[in-house]
Amino acid sequence: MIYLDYSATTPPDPRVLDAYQLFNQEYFGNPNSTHELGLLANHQIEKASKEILSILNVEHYEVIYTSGATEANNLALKGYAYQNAHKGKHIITSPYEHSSVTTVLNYLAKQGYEIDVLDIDKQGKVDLVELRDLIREDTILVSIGMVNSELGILQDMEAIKEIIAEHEDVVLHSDMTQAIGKVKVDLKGIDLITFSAHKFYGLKGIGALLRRKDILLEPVIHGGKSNSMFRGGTPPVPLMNSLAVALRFATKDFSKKIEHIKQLNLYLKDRLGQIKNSKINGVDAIPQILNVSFLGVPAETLHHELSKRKIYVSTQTACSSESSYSITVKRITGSDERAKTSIRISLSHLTKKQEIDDFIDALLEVLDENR
Amino acid sequence: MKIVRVTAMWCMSCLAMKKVWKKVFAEFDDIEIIDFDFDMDQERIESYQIGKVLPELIVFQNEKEVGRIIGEKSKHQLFQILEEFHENN
Repeated sequence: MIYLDYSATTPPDPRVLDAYQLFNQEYFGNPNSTHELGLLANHQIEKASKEILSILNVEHYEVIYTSGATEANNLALKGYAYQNAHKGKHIITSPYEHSSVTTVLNYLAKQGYEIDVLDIDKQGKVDLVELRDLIREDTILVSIGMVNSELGILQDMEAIKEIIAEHEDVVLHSDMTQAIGKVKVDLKGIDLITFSAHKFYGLKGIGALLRRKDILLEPVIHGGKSNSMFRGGTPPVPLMNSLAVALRFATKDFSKKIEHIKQLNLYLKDRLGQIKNSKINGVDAIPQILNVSFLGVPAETLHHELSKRKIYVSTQTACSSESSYSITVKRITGSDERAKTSIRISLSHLTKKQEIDDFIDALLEVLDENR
Repeated sequence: MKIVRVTAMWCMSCLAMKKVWKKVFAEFDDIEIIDFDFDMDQERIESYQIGKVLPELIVFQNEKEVGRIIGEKSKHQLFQILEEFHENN
């Protein structure tokens, strides 16, 4: 098997699995219980939260644990919009958001919220002049993800933060699911931050919303105070701890890992560049993601044929009823052909050069058979 | 003019077009919109054979389909397309 779909999900780090198993045995008490076992479990949550906030360098935030980034995005957007409806109902977003943001915003639009979607430039960055112009008295929230999942385009978060900072009544939410554990992030100045552990070698079923402590939210899941007054339910202590452990190991030797991925990315780009009718989509992308079109061969054919050879990449689905057409590629390149023939290859520090060579060999074979 | 509009909750282009539709449709006094959700109304939209890209607008004049508007359009583009449908039908 050659796995080149690390942006979809990552294999859990064995150390995370070990910690998860240990915690299930040692800290199975309900952290809402007031006996010693419960207090012990509760203490472990506090330790995990402290570690997460310390690693991400945002000590004055609350970690609200969720089932993943989708729930975290729901809580951030609905929670803030409902809580602050009396201030205004205007929200600004980018055209690149994950469906867990888009769907919530469409839902809010049906309830009378007004959503503006920013334009982008040729590199795929959101139009900052337009962002500045669109903010008005009833704007309550701006939601812009740092890294686009299809092309890996990195937004200029520092410039976005500067603009939002000029408006004290506007809150900035950023879906950091494709950023945390992959790029260096400075989260200060972002009020609501969402992410999921399984994107950085953690477990599926746990994610978080980091909330600046003075920001109030309407809960989406009601259920009493529990670990957070904003999210009901018995806290899954082993999963919460596993998030901290995954983050600890994902950020360890970070520069070394990134350097390895950068080298692989350059090598892969070079090999792809030698293939007739191949087009790299997007320029300022993170090194983990490489989106490429092979003109003349539909993406689903390529995806299927590679999958038959146990090589796993992905195609995109945003605003498309089939998985073979990428609206994001269309937006950036203006080409329908490129949008129909694009695949996403996503790399990891675990990827080996030999895997790239084997992938290219298989790719050439598939292209030869289908052109 | 009757427009069957097919959108989806997960569709960013559909979200982006909401303001454009509101502004442009307000400039015509004979447009009737019938909304369908791509996922929730699957059986009801089956006969329209919706393509790969959303949103999809199917334009009818006198109960006859006269054209389709697919994907994102600027306010100017949408206005022009609708004007042409008006003039030609």
